[in-house]
Amino acid sequence: MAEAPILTVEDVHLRFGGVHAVAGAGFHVARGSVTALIGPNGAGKTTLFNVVTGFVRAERGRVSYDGAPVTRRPPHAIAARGMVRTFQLTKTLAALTVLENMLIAAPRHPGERLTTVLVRPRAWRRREREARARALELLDDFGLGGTAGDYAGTLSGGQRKLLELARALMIEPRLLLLDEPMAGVNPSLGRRLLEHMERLRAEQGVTFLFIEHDMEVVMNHSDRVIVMAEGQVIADDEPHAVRADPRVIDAYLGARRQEPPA
Amino acid sequence: MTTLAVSLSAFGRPEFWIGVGILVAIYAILTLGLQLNIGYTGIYNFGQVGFMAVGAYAMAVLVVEAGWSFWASLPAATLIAVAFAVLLGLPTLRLRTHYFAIATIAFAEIVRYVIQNADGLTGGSQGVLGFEIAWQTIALSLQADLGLAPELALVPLLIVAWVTLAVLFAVLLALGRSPWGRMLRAVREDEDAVRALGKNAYAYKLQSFAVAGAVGAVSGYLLALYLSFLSPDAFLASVTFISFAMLIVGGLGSFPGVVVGAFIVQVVLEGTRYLQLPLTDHQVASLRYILIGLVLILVMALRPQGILGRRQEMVLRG
Amino acid sequence: MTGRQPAVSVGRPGLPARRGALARHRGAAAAVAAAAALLAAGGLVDVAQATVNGLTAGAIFALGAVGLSLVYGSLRLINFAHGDFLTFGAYAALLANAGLGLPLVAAALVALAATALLGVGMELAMWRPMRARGAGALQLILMAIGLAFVVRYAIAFVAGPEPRRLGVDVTSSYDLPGGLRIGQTELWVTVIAFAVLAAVVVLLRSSSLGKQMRALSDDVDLAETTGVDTGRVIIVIWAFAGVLAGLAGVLYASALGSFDPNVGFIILLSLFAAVILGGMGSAYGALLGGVTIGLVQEWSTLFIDVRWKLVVGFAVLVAVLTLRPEGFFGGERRL
Repeated sequence: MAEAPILTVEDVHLRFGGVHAVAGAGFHVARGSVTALIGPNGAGKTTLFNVVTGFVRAERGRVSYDGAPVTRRPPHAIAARGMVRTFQLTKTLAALTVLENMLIAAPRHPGERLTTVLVRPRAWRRREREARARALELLDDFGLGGTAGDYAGTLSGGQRKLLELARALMIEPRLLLLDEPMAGVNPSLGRRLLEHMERLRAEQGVTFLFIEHDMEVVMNHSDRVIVMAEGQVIADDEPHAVRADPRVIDAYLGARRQEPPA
Repeated sequence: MTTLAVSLSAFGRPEFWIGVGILVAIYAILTLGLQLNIGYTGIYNFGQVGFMAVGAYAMAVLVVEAGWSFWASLPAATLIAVAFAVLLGLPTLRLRTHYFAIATIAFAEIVRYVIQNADGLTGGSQGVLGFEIAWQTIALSLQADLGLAPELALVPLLIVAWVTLAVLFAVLLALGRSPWGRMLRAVREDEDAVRALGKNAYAYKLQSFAVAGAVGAVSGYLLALYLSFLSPDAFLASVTFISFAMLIVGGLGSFPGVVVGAFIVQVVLEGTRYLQLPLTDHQVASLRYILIGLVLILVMALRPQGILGRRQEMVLRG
Repeated sequence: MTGRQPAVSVGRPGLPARRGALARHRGAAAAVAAAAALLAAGGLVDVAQATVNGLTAGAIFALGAVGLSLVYGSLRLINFAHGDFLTFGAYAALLANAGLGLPLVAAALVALAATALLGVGMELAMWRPMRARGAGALQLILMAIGLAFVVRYAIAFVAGPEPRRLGVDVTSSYDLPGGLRIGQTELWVTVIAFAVLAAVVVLLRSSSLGKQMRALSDDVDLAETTGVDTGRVIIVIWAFAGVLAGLAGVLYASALGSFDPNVGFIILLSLFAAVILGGMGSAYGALLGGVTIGLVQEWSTLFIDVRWKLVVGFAVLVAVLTLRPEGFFGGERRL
């Protein structure tokens, strides 16, 4: 790697009530890359996301983003620095409109400061106008322009996924951690999401790390694949190498043997 | 066979409506703070009467014990109430909703107990007198200027109370519609989503709580002037729950609803005074509380969004 | 949906189990330090007397707190009307005893049955239908508070605000060795309360119903998947909580001598303190929490004026919420 990686995870350990959810995971993510994080259910992938983005505190380990340690930083501080995550079960704010969902993500908004609103009621109008314009632009990009005034709770599942991604982009992130972005999304919408990802990577150099179960997406659209099983990283390589890795096959087969019939 | 008779003549007397009007304004102000916390931010502040008490007593003690001027004591007492809100909120706002609710109830009861037992400072159950002299001079001169008859002596306070309500209403409405207010609603919906977008959810909750504390204190000053005499019995936990009844009748999430709810509930409560049933005074008082209890149960069961609340904005989740 | 959070929520990680040798030593050291402080504040006799009083109060708190905790554990409902259930029990006994002329023991049993019916009745009339409609926490909390008002003030409406007495002996007392004194009634109250608490522990631990109640209180969804008839067990929990609350009310009214419609509400926050101290949802925790709160409140009178006694309970509540909201004796592991 020529440049320093944008994300470094080292030796993270976390137990949840007796289960060793993450047991010494570590990897790098290169700038501008698209990296997939895969593994059987219960491998610790979402837990690792939670640790990396500050939602859960690990017992041991270090995380650094863009050269600076973020191990014990609160989640909002990490997101504000440009490492933004989405959630497996979308967290669209149902009782707010689609536009409002977008606007709350706008960074550096003086209208969100109590003192400003009380003392200088006009000082934030300009930022609000800018944020609105940007929000509507992004919504249009994702084909949600017509829903701006609707309550987010009325959107379909696929639309919520798009909204969550569009909303994350309001922050101008440099590293996006997507938790199963394709789950429950129909193929055409899924293709659109991938197109957006490619465009963001190509035009703005945004780095992606995503958890996925759809192997077609993983194999064909990522530069690198990290495989987790039972809380540890068991493979970290290019897609075709990972596919042939016996340890990876073992982990998936082993997991399938233990899983109850679907 | 007893017949239900209502002494309608009472409803015709101006003092009745002036008294109702003042109490409606006081309760509406108190409930505005509650609306900001419950309806907008989703934090279950069950201790709002505590801030009313802190404000009222801080003002009274500053004036009567420390010799401050009434006007100077108002901003100082408000700051004290805000300080209490911050001190209480800092450790408790990170707790789950139920625990926070219990902590706030405990806070209000602790305040009341301390007021009751720290006789040296607060006069205990004997109460505090004499803080409203500065106000009374103004009230009396206003009364003379307006040429008001003696029965209308409380009209100046009524005017001040409603002007205060109007001002605070406008301020809170503006806050609610601002991006800050939008963040409060987002926090109510999902704190983790807010954090994932780079915003400090905890700070917004704390600010919302502090504003409610300040507004509660203001309602305390008006109550003090209305009663002319402060005692810890004016700040029982039931005050918070009457305020909740007003909140839900008017509708969660609606500031205008607060005024509507305050008016309706207060008229019903005051109206029971004038029922001519063969009941003792105590029974009438008990009846009022039974009514409040029924309002809480029935509104939540049958029409949780109240009169002006919107179903979509309803805080239904746990 | 009862509006609960997912079992493993994005939030604080499981706190590492602090059991084991270190915890035991820390606990023992704290106990020794506390005992030393108490003895320094008042002599041995005063401490012993306060301990006796504390055990009486604590046993009553425990009876009230166990039901509160089980209801919260299985339904995620904080029964703000629980204090008024105690009041209800006391007044039901009064009605049976003074009004209907039943002997005290029979009157007490009537009171227990009546309070159990109240709890079960409310479950069927209010809580179950609201749960079926997906009511959220705020709705349930406000309805519980409304119920508290209705029960308390209906009692006041019917019985009047004047203090009442159950037909108990409030004057004779026993002299214990060392200069200690305990009222005859208070002794009976304490003995009965602890006997019932012991029975409760045995019931919860050994009987299948008890195990089901604990399972439900621990994790409703899990209990359902293991074949527990949740609807039926919930009814049993309410009846159980009602019986214990009614008993606590009768015992409390007896120990106090005189009581009025506010008697139960006044100790509601102490009950909350007990439940939170013990860990919400843990019946054993509530038991230990109740006894602890009773003792702490009485011991505090050695250091500060007795009128601050209840504030001590509230202060413990706020302190526990601030420092260790999951409690000390088991109970909720997730926050």
